[in-house]
Amino acid sequence: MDRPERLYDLPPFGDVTLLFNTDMHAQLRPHYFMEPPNLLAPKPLEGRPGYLAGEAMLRHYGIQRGSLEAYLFSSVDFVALAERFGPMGGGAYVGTLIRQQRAMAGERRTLVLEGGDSWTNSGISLLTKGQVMVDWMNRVGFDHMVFHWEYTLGRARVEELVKELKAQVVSFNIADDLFGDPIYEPYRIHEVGGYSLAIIGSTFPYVKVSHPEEFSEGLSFGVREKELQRYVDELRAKGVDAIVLLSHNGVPLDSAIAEKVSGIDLILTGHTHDYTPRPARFGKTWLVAGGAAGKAVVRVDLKLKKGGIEEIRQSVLPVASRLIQPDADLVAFVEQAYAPHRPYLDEVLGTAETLLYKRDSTYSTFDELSGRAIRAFYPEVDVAFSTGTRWGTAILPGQPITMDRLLAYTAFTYPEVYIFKLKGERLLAVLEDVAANAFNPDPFYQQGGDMSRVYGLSYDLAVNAPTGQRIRNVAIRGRRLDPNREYIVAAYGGRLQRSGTVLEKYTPRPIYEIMAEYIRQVKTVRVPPRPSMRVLDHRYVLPG
Amino acid sequence: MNRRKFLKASAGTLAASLVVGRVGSALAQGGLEGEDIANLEKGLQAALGKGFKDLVPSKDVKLTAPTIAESGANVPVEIEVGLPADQVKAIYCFCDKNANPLLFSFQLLGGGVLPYYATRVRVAETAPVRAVVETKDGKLLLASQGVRVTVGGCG
Repeated sequence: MDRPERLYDLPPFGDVTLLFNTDMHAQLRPHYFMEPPNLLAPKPLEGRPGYLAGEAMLRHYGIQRGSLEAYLFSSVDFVALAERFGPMGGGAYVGTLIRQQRAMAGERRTLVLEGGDSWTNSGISLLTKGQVMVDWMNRVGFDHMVFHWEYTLGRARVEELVKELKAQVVSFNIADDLFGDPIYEPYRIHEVGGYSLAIIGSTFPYVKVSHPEEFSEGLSFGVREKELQRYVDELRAKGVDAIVLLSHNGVPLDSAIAEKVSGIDLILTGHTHDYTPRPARFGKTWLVAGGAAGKAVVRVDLKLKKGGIEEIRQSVLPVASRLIQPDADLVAFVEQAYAPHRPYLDEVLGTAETLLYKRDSTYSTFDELSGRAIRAFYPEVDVAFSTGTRWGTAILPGQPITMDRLLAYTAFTYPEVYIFKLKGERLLAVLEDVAANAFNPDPFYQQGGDMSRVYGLSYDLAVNAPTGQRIRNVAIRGRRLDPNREYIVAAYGGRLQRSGTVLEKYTPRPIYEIMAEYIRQVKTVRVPPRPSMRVLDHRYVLPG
Repeated sequence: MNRRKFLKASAGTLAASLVVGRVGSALAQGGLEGEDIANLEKGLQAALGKGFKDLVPSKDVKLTAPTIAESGANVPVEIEVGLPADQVKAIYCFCDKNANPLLFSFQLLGGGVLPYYATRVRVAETAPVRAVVETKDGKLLLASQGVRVTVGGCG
């Protein structure tokens, strides 16, 4: 493209504009983020949005290699394109783009929507317990929000921050555990251009399954598709023209919901970090995914009609830091937020000699590095697990690894590395269970993360095998898994330790401390991508 | 499963998806995850004196349960019967993998009680939950749904 900044010149169209930002994971500084080289699909879901990665993504949407779009949407030529187009996102740039687009589309006909996973998972968020992101959102101006990782701040803290938040939380599926009543407004109706538009909110259904329960005490979540249908019917009965679901279900589950729940006109979905360069259509429902990491703001312009959407126009706007002139007040805000924490966050721990990335269905070089660090710290550990979370950052070859960048991958509010004993057969069952959550052909049975990553353990993966037969040929430290042997296992950022017997003599230490110590020692980090698993029924692509 | 069987099973899944063209239920996988008919049979015999082969899957029985439980110790289950109240004798609920497969039973005593029951049950591990409705004329109607009880990965 000759003048890529023209991407942002979008005159108003139709009756209402929705600006959708999601899954920023509190990355307030511009950074690099590589899309997954692989999104391994169960057969019935192959080729659908949510399972398009790398070259397949470019082919599906007719995107030219080497373009800004290719950089935004795929892992193809990532390092070269990162050097050409520079870092993406950051609070000042995302905020400026939202403000500019709102002004261009028309202040009074625009809604700014946040799809969740915005308050946590960076160093600056951890140090301020999410405060900095609420302050940022209030400055930029958001209308509605749903949640997921926000709850890892703890319910009490979330409720404290909601009081300060100017945006209105909508969520039909955050309920009081005892009585089942929704805690927040399930939806809000807006009058625009002579039509009425409802935004129903849907928070991540598996908050309790994915994180320690004490963070969401007294609450219950869930997909609750029958309740959702009731709310849709209620809104239709009120004569609402168009219904939008602001959702943190992710693309696979929301595409299944679009086919099951009738009467939703448009779903804006976060969680799985996918992009839909063109809106997808499932049944009579449009589906638009919002990406992640601050890399894009999605603008959706709707021309409405009585009872629905007449026409939809969607632009995925890249938050390219070299193309956007950020507003001075937002630049100053981010700088001031970091100022007191710079000595800690900007410490250079070492240098990356090879690309450190996170996102993929089964493996990443960052996870390999975490395994090495854990093994260095606890040489007796046979197997180290790393999380199948989708958030993180990318560190290019030659770049320094600062504490801030390390925390971009590891800023959990529950960062403890647990050391526990686990019997071989149980270890295999755990891998099968996680694989069943990740690769279930029915999205209603997918819990939502990528496959847990393993260090010290090798296996073969059959994505399309039935549950109980996906994981084969397991070897630990080069020797075939013994079902009766007790192995020493390390894990963080999940609940795996509950499957075994936690060894009390180890005081759990935060993963970021263990990794910082390791990187300081080795100084230069060299992790060429060498997955310890083989995928039997899919082509598996390594980046670069 | 050997390699040939595995490839055959995958091909079957693909063919099914082409015909259906939509995301099917867990049935696309063959059975429900954690199915354990032998254990279920014990519970059915004890409660009803009948076996799994005597149950007839029916659209008149609506079973609502989460596909993934927030906690296996506390799973909300709702059973709704689309038949007139005077045709329904009792409602039973089972889980394949529980040591005692019978989760609860509920006799309709007449007098206009709706054939509907909602409660919370314990599901020991990933397995199907079964709603069985006994009609006045002696039929046993069945609805099943797989419930995952997971150690939890990460989102």
